[in-house]
Amino acid sequence: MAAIGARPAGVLGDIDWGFRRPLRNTRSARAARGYRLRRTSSRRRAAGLSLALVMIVVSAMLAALYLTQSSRIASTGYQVQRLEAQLGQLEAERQALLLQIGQAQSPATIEARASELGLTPLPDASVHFASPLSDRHP
Amino acid sequence: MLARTDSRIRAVVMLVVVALVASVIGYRLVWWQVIDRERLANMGLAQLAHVQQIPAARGVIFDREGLILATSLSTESVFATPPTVADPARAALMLGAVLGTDPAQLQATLESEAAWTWLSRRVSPETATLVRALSLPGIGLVTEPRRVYTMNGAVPGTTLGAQVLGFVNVDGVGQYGVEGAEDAVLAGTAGSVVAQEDVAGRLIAGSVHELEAPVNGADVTLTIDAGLQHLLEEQMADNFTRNRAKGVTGLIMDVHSGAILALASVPTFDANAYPTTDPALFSNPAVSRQYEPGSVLKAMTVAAALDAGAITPTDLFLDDNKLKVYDVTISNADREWYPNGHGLITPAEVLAMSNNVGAATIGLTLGGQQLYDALLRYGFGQPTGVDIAGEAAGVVHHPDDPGAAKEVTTAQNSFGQGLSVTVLQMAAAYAAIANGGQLVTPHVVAGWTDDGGIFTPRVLPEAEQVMQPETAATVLEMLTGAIDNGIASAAAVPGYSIAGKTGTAQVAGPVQVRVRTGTDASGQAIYEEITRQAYIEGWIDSSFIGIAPASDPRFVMMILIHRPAVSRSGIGERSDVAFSQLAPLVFDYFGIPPDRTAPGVALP
Repeated sequence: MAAIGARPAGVLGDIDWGFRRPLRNTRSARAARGYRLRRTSSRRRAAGLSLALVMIVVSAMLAALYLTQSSRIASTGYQVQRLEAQLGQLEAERQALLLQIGQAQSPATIEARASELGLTPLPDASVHFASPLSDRHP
Repeated sequence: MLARTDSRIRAVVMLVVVALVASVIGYRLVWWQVIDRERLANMGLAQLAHVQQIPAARGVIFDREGLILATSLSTESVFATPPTVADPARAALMLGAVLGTDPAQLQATLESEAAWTWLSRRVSPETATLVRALSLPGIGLVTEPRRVYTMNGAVPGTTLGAQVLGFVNVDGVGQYGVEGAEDAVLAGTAGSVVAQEDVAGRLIAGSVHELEAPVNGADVTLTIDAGLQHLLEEQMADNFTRNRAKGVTGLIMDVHSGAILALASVPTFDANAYPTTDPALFSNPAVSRQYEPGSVLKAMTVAAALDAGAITPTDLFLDDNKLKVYDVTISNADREWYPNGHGLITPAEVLAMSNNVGAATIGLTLGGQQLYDALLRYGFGQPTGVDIAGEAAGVVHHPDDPGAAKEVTTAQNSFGQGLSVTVLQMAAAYAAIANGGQLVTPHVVAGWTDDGGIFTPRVLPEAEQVMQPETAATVLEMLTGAIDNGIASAAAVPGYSIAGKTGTAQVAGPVQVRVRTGTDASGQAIYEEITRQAYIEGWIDSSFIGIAPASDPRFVMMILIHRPAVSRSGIGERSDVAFSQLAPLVFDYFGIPPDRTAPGVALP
């Protein structure tokens, strides 16, 4: 039943769950048990090592991902801040230009500029309206 | 055996205790993680997240040609957090020099218990730079918009159309004028962002929990023409000076649409310096001031009587200069020259001579109830609906009201006394005469342009037909005659037909009177000085309202001079004379050719 190399009944994988019937205390049985214990312990170590390696790799990947993400967020944050500042600056310039336009379009400004250029209002007498011919020849 | 049993009991007890504790912990875990998860998550986020307001940009105000009348600038305001100010005395000294504020006052503020306080709002960019350079702990700068009115007014030290536009107060709320009336539209809706902040107070990208985008205010386009407004302000300022008046108001309105093209009052103010302005100047007199119109209202009496069929244009009315209504005798303004009146006169002559007796007779012929109804129909006694904040309704009494005097009220109302109106009401009523009898809504807002650039024109209430077109045409002709052949000939403009009417009314003011209040123990009368409202000698409102050109009406123009200095020779410049100077400028401005051939130069 407990032949070497064969999977013993009541054993799941390499773990002895203790469900099988105890081996007789014969010499060959003791030898077989010693071999199996050695083999199980080495496999356990290998599995533990693999698991640890996987954990380390996964942790490292997660850490790298987190760092990349954090760095990207920080970088995007600075970019947003810079663009907001730029937008604010452009908006301020737009507003200042609107004010300048408004002031330049002001009739008072235009009147003052016209006076500086020597322009004066026309005297009423110098404006003549042409009457249509029908007025002369009804 | 007994020991083994004890051990088992202890084990069971321990197991129960552990199970209970584990259950309680498990229950709390389930409660926190599953049942109350959302609330706790929000609480946690609230501790980390910061709500930041995103201000909406206030809309620009344009004139009818797209010229900028009002816009906003980003400025900075200085604030302090007094508990974190290291050395208040030193900080006050340094800030006082930069902000131009009393250092002692500043120091008191910086030493106060307040957690946060303003030091100076909306400072100049240079001042902001200097404050920043000081790098004082507990002193900071925050961005705030400032409203600016771009155009200087015709009166030095004022801004163009200040009483039409109003202003925006320190809290960003529109006050008076269009800024007040259209505040909700201009201001827009502020947005907000809920996100986490870093140690420097910057929002962390990707941490935005909630974002509500702001809706910027709409731009408002007015019917006001900046050039014409400037011209009107110049004329009104000139008249104000000549008359040494308390105030002068001028209005130019399109008779067909009710669009106000220019509206100016003097004195006015600088909207960019409103904090240092007398608040009495903020309201627009054309909208908020009620006055007794005097003779300009006679046109409405004649229109009402013609419309009702109570009179015809050819009817004759006796003017003997002494119309007795109960115990009141009504006489004419020209009684000094015509003590016995003018005899039999037509309605046209009533208007041409501005005859009180004739107007009162027509009003009484029509009847108190019908005159009252007509005045309400023509828009008096109720707001016109103009889009300028602070409009007054005016007062029209029913002749049978407890405070009224029946036929005396009717007779007085017929020539513009005993009731009060606003300049806008009168302009709207005359526009009805000019446009065939339709009562238009005076307005200054032409429409709104939203953030997406889509223009929405203002939808006006449909104009009501308040008098028959024939009546309007007849009264228009009579008013043209009043200028050509009447006492208001000074309003005539060579080459143009003008219809119009003058009006002069007394102004009431506070008067101290001695009133007997009783008798003392010895039987002597006791008198007391009290203040009453009464007409004051020399206090008048002089107005002229004209329709031009009368042959094809386009504008109604009104000038009201409030309490000019009155001398033996009259006043400095009458309102009809002022009109004759204003009207040609308006014709030139719009390129309106003469409608009468007199000044024409014949074509070859």
